[in-house]
Amino acid sequence: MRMKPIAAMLAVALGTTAVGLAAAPPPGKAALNAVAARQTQMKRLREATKAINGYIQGAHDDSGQVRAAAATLQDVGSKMPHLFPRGTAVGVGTSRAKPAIWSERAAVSRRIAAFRAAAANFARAAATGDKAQIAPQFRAVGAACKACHDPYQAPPR
Amino acid sequence: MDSRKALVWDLPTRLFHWSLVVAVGGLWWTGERGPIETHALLGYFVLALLLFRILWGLLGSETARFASFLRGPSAGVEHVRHLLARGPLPHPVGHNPVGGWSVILLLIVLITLSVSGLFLYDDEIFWAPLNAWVGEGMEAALDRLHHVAFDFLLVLVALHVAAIFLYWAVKRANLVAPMLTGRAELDPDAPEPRTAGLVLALILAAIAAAAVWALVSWGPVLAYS
Repeated sequence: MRMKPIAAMLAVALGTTAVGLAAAPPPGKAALNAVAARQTQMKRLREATKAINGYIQGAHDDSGQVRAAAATLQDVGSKMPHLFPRGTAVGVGTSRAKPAIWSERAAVSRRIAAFRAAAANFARAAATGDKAQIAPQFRAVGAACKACHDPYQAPPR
Repeated sequence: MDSRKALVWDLPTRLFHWSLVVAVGGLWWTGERGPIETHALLGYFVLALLLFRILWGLLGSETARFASFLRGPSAGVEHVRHLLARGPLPHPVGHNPVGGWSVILLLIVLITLSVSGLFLYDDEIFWAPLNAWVGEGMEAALDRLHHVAFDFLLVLVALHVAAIFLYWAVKRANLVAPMLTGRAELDPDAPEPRTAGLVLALILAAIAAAAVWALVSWGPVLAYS
């Protein structure tokens, strides 16, 4: 009966699994909190862009909301470089941050800088209250979001 | 010659089918690369196509009606036996029993895709018309459903194309030509399928288009009232 080789293979498989599980502890509280904090900031961006979108589409005419939203975009932009600590990639909580973010830091930094520039340009347009200036700058902000999301954001879990 | 050619697929059904092919291709492309606004417009178009198809399946030409091509398991089994046996198939009049159910499956998946899409946010600056109707958890679930349904659709489309090819390669049954020209050979004693009028098709298409337009235009407004 060929039990010995099968038993050996089974032992190796179980052993490696055990070692693997031991070597990769579940994400700690700090990592989960960091993911939650990042997603909170992204939600602020969502609310801000929603208010701007509403103004441009004519759902409301409160230009004060647009200026406040512009300030939010800049605030989150200033926090952005610190929102991606190591150990918060896909697999940690509901993180959608692809691991490539940490192997391509220079490219990611450029994209963050581009977003902050777009947010600054938008703030200048928002100060005028003029839809004709606000709309194209808003689209540029959207493009800056997309430029990072396309390569580095995973689909929802 | 005993068999003769007759109109098996009417114009509205054929237009529906090929419009869907082009639209789904465009949706796939824009879904991967954007722009999201084009993806959404094509999605509304497909939703209207599907609404039309349902109405046409209830009120339209004979071969398009669900009642005419949806058969029980025994008919499906018999069709498979014909496929596996040697020799040509009997001339079909419209969808065969197996094809009929795969049509329903495709329609269900496409409806799932176009309806779920109405509730989504693209993580940048596009909110689909009914996004305000759902909370965070439901939106995330519909987003996952939208993506899973698309994987399903790819498999179904691949099976559909493979089946059409196999019908031709193995059974010498060309199913593409009738869906293009509408005409196919009928068995000598088979009656010609009844066609519903183009006027009815235009009315139903207008109803479908109006319904989608109303949903997309008033949906966002209704969410706040």
